[in-house]
Amino acid sequence: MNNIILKTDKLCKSFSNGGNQIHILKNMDLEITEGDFTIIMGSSGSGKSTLLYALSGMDKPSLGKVLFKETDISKLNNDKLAIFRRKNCGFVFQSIYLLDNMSILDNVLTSGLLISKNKREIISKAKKLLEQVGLNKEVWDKFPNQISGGEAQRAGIVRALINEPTIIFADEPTGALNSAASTEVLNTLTKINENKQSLVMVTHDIKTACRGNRIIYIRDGAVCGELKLPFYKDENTEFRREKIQTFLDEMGW
Amino acid sequence: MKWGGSMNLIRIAIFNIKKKKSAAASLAILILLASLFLNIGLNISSNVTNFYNNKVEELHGPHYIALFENNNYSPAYSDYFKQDDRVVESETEEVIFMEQADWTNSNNNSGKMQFYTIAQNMDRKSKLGGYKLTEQIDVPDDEGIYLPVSFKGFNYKLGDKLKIEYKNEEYSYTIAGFFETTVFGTRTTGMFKVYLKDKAYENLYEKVGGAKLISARMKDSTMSNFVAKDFEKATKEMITSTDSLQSVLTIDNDEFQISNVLTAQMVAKFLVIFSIIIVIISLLVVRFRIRNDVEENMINIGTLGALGFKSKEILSIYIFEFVFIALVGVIGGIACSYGIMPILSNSLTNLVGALWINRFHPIVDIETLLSILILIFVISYLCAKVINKYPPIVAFHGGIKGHNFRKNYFPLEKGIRNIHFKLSLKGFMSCLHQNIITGAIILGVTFATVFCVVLYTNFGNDYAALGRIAGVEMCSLEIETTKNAQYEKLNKEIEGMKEVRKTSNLDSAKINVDDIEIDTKISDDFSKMNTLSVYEGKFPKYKNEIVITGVLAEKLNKRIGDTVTVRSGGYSSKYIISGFIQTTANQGKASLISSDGIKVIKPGYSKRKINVYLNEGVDEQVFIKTITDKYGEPTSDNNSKYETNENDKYSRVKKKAEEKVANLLKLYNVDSVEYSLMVDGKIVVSENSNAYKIEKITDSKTEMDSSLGSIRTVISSLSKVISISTMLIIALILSLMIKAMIIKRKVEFGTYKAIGYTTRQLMIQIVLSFMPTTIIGTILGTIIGYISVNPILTAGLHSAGVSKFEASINVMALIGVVILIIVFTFLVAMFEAYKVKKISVYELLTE
Repeated sequence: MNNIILKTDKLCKSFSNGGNQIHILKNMDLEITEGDFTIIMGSSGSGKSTLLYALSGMDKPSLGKVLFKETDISKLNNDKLAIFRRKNCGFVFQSIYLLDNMSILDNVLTSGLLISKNKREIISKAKKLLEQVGLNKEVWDKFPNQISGGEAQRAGIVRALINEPTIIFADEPTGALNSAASTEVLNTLTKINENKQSLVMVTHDIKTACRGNRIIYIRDGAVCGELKLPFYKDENTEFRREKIQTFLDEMGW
Repeated sequence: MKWGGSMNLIRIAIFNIKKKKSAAASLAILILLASLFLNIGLNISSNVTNFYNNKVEELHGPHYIALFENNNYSPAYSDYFKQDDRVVESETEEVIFMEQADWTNSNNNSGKMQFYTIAQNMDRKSKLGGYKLTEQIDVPDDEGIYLPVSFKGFNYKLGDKLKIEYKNEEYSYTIAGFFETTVFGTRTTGMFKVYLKDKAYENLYEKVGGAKLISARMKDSTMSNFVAKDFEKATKEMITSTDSLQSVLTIDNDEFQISNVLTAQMVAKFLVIFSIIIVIISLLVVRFRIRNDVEENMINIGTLGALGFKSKEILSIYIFEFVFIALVGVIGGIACSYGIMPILSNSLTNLVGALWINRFHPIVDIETLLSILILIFVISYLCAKVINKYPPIVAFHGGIKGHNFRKNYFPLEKGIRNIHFKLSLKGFMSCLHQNIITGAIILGVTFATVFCVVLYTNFGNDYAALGRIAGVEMCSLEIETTKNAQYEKLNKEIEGMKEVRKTSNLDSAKINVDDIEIDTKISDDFSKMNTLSVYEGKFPKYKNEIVITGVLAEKLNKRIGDTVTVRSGGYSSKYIISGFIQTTANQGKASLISSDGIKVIKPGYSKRKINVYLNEGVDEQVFIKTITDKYGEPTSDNNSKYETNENDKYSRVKKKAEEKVANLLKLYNVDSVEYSLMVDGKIVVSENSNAYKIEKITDSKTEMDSSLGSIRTVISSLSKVISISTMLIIALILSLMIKAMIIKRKVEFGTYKAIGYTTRQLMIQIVLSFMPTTIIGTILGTIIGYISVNPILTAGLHSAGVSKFEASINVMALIGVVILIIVFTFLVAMFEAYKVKKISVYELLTE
């Protein structure tokens, strides 16, 4: 049985809007297991991204706990959270968010050199990872606006991977990409999951959701259903799609 | 563009202002500061001269004054003015003249001050008194004294007890009132006039004696200079001695005007210069704001275009926005200037000697308003014109991509390891345009600060620079020997005293250079001078050399190496111009001649004056006591022991006796002798020979403090105001720039935070990205300030007779300025960058 790396205990998140309290997450209990490719789905406004940012320490919960390997990260201050993130988490964003004033290689190194003392080692690792995701030498010195969306997002994945995080969080990583680019990115994510990298991904797209082995459906700020699947293989895509569709229909999506 | 359309554009402009309230407020404050200084500067510079001239008319003051000691006066002098057609009114009054009287106000701690003082009889009601009482209290007639209103600047108040010490006698008064006047009402001439009621006047007259004051008014005040020259020429013909006009002083309207308004004009010019610097900074900020705004709001611009707005209309939105902000700032600045002027009124009253009344000055206000608004309009138009390049479809694609880098500056895989430093350099390059503007602004404020430091160290703290431009030799004391004293022996004795650092010789006389009557200074060795200096060429050493002022040279169309004809009495000779000096006295006309040189045209010349330079820490008054203990009281003081109502006769007799005894001592090489002289049954003289070596001792340092103190106060205050303003401007600009940077790069900072960068690391990145331009801007501003301060001050003081201003620039002080500005910028930047802490990663990414 795989280890639980992330756990929430009655997690709540609220926002105030003109004096009114809006409860996004309500007493959510959730566990993320090591090695899983967890997909979070829900209708628009259900709290998917809020949950993702709370789990990753990007945002602090209003109530409850987020336990990362028994450490309650909800109690950490902002600087300690930043240190927590750099050591344990990687992020892949819908809008990619590569720093547009530096090259692709520098974008990766910005993350890598934050922790690593061994500059040569990290540079070599960055280049290797970039090649692994299909970004060869010609791309390294280019700027984000000089490469395609798919290439940029794959560079974003390498940036997330460089420090060997315990878990990678992805917020609709294919949301801004065309179909071909989306497939490239999903293949990359699947590949890294095959290497036992834990992933938590938010998506509203069934095709994307097919890549996960565990689908969590949230509604009105709470988990209302979960679907377990075998790990992704190319040949069982259609089967997975049907299973997920049925699950979502049951959930009322 | 129809009115409804314009209103729509204005509405959008106002919406834009509301969206960036703090940035708009920062810019408005900058413009407010610029308008404030500009309005005050223009108000003073355009009105102070007229104010003075109007006061002369209002108070019916004289356009020309000549003061004579009674034994040097002739009724023919008064007759001259009566006969001159250009003179509409003239008057000769008996006044009391006290050379170097010591003033002490026992009700405040302003200390002892030394002035030349003229006391006039208030009950006599002179025609050309040129004064008006501003306030008074009831004081017995025999003790009341009425002072010029500028004395309030020394913290003198009605009812204060005043003590005047003169020639070992003390005269006590109570301040009964203040008056405004255009004549001898300010410190700048070193002479003040006071009024006493008849009883007090007569008491003083009995003790001190009188002098003659001739006052004259012309049909046209601009004629006063010509009348003065003609009078001096005519009186030379009336005098039988070989010397020139034996007046204590003569001043015409131009000289009065310059002395009374010069400081105010100077201050006004500095304010205008500083306001121009702030205006330039404001224009840079507007440029930055517009460019930044166009970049950030490209989508909105595209949307407006897609909705049917023309480029010209979108451009107008920016113009409305910034002209409106500028309008608020300018109106605020003008309003503040009206609020501040009453505070400045006291200083102006003290400087000019007459009550400065603040009035509404619409023309100056309009000049301020229009000049700033026009500049803002032009810069807004020129910067916003870039919108024309971006039709909607281009705008939607983010037409301006600010980061179309071809070069990856400071790549992380190469060079030094420290990633935060490298990232800050990358940040610097990514906002290069903004950083250049910040650097330019810091350059501007540093320049202004350097200017202030130079002003303060040269005018507000030490008088050396003032001495150089005034053509004055600054020493501790001036000892004038009697005519036949053994000068060299006395000089050597004094120079050998332990308190004395050195001595020098500097006499003065009136001469005629190419038909222009001027004052000349004479010395046996000009190289010993402290502050008296030539700004071009060299001092006169040989007997056929002369140094003249640049102003005189311009007038005579002469250069170094040319010759001039110098006359005195019946003698004349040609002299070669060896150099140029400058002076603010006598409308910038003066000269220097060597002792050998003056003897050619004044065979009777002998050295008289010894400038004494005391060692650090030696008190002037204590040293004067040492001198008088050794050599006796100065002969000019000895008159007071034997004063009678017929003092003219006795002072003439005494003078003759002194000369004979001194001559006797010299002729027979006698060291000392005791003697007495009786005239009309009264002992006129009873002394020993020591009394005949020193005629007068002047405490030059105290005198300088007294006459230049007001300039020092004003410059010191101005420097402080400008320095504080520059710090405020730096803080405002940094606040604006960093805020804009955080907003512009918020996604970038959010990404950094998501990756795991702490707030402190981001703050350091932000601050370090500003430091290169701060350091470069500060250093450049200091260098430019260092190079340009002298030319600017020369230009500013040219009307006062200054041909070349040479400020002494304290390099350590400038280094201090550089360090202070850099440290201050760093601290303010850290404070502003701290705002990054408050924003959560989630907000940054989802906002």
